[in-house]
Amino acid sequence: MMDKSKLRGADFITSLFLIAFGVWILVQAFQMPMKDTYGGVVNVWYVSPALFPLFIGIGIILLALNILVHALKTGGYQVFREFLLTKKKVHITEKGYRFLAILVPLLSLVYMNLPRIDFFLSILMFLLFFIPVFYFDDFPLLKKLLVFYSIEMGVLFLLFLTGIDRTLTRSFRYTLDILTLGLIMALYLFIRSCIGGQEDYRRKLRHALLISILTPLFLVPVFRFFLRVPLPKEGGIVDLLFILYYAIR
Amino acid sequence: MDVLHSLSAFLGYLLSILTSPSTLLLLFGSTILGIVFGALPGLTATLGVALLTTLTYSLDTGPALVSLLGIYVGAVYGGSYGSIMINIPGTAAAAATALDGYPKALRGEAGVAIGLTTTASFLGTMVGMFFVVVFTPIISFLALQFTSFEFFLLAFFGILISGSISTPDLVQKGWIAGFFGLFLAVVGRDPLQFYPRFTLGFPQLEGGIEVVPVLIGAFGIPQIIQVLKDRFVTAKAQQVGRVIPSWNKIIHNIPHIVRSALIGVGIGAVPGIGEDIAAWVSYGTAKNTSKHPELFGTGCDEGIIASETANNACIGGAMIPLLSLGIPGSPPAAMLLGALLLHGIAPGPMLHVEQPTFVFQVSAILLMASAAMYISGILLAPQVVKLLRVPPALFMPIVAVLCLIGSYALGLKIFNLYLMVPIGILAYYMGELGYPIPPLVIGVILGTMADENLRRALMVSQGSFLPFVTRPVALLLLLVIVATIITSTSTFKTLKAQWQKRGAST
Repeated sequence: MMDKSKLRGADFITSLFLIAFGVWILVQAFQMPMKDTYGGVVNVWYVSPALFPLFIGIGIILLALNILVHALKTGGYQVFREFLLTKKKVHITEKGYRFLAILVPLLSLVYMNLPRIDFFLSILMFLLFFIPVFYFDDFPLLKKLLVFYSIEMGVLFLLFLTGIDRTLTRSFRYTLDILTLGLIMALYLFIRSCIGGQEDYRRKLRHALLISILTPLFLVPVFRFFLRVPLPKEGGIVDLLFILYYAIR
Repeated sequence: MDVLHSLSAFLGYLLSILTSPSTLLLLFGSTILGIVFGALPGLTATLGVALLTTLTYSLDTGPALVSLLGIYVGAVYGGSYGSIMINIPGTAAAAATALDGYPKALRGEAGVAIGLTTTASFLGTMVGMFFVVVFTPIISFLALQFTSFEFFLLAFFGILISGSISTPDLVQKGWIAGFFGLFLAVVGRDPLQFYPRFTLGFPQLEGGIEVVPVLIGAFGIPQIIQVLKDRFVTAKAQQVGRVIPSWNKIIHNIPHIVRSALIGVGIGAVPGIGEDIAAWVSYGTAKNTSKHPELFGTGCDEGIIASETANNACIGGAMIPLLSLGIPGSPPAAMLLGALLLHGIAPGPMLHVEQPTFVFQVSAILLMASAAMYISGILLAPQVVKLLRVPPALFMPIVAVLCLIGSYALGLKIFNLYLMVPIGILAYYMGELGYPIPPLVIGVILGTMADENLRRALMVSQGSFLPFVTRPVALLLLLVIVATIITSTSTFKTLKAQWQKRGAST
């Protein structure tokens, strides 16, 4: 949790957001059938679908007002004002970079890669970045890797945005998988070049690579073959595992 | 159901577990997994239950329950390893254990400390189990007399009390978190008139927000962000030596154990309040009532026993409102509720009517899980302790992947992931701003119950609020709610302080 001196400033602004949120709930609730007819049913106020949202909206507004008053009494506005006045330039701290190094792979995996790229490769690419970036515990290296990974994700984003991925996969089904594999190789080689000959880092990279491969190699059979869960996107590698699974069976 | 029938049902379930090698394997496997989960800093019992929910989805209810309770019991106990060996609690529930566990380990008595925690945790779970057997049917029976008025008030009380106790800052923040949970619960088509509420035009939201992805997001993602962002590092572990279950010390501390177990069960039974609070309250009480409070914090046995008995007894306590009222007593119990619903079991007063032996099945599993925990703890502790060397940067990314696949696999909806991630990020920021997560989760779980029962109650009374004060139980609940709100206000606290000051001066 934030320290108390900053917290009251944050309380000031969050309570305003919460009041706005409560008002939005009320506005939405008032658009719901209250006493009029809906779907052939004549409404009375106490069966209205708006009743509970009204209760929630009012509750949030009252409580947020309470927090706002407390924040004002304890100097929250001054803290917030000082924050605005002293904050002339956006400066990302080490913690901020670490936070970005969590968000970038997580968001790109969920919103971009998992629905479009082979599950095995999506997870492999995610882990091959996510494990070393924190396992090395080296801030300059974290920044470099984050930039490189963001560029890779940018390339994929452009492909998906322009629809080139569809054109590519129309001519050959596994084109996107091959491209992803290329990006994974590029990421690995980039990490190798960054760490140079440092034995400790090379050992850590070996661990990271091993875990990055073993995790999807364990998860795909468990979920796809034993739990019979269709994976979000099954591409070249999952198909290959299918062939292997049925060959063994 | 008479006592003999209940006893035979309980023994029948015990026998069925004992005579099935596959169930025993599952029990020991999940308990050991739980111990590992609990021991590794950053992984919690809630997360363990959440991740195993996906893997046990395709199992029958019995084996699924064995694994889920096994990991729950194991994880609450396993948290003490980190506390004792590296002074970093594996789970929040074991934070109080570090105060005396680590100094004991520094004196070269890590094995003795783990022996004490193992035995105390075992006894705590057993006492908790006893209370589940005795009180769940009684509360279920009483709850059968409840009508929609009482259920609405009960749900509202659950959110209020959870918000009041779990908040690290202002009490209003705890309540807002609960209201936000209620809001998430009303998203989707309303159950009475089928009117779409807050769906923002997304057809995927019409069926409502699924509970399990919300739980995984709210508990899992903030944990991952916190551990990796704040550079959670492992420390050098102390030598563990031989794990000795010191029964002499245990017998000597029987009064502490009984008191701590009662505290654990009592706190566990309060909605949304977890094992961590039980452990701290028990530790504080043990210190305040001790003849030698100065020894606390220097590696004294009472401190270790107090926190470890209470946090494991809390498991049973948390199961009582879960099974009898459908209200989870702790965050892992909330996750367990999600798992039970997935298996088609709806905890609540009707559970005792529809499946009268279910409580005994849960109790038998709790008993076996605590035995498995004891055996595994005594035999495997030195091996599990070695895992404390594994840096979180290696396993947290895997946990992230498990959270994602877990959320997706339960409904086979990629949309669940689209929801889970922002909820997780929001939960992280809420934590940073002093808004607790348990009331949010309780709100999501109890929202539908509160909404339906409020409207049903008013339908019955044709819009009159009078039954809220004319029905005795409703009135009692209403008074408790009002008392909770009043005692949480700053005016009341100021008046109380002034009154205490005046009392002290006269």
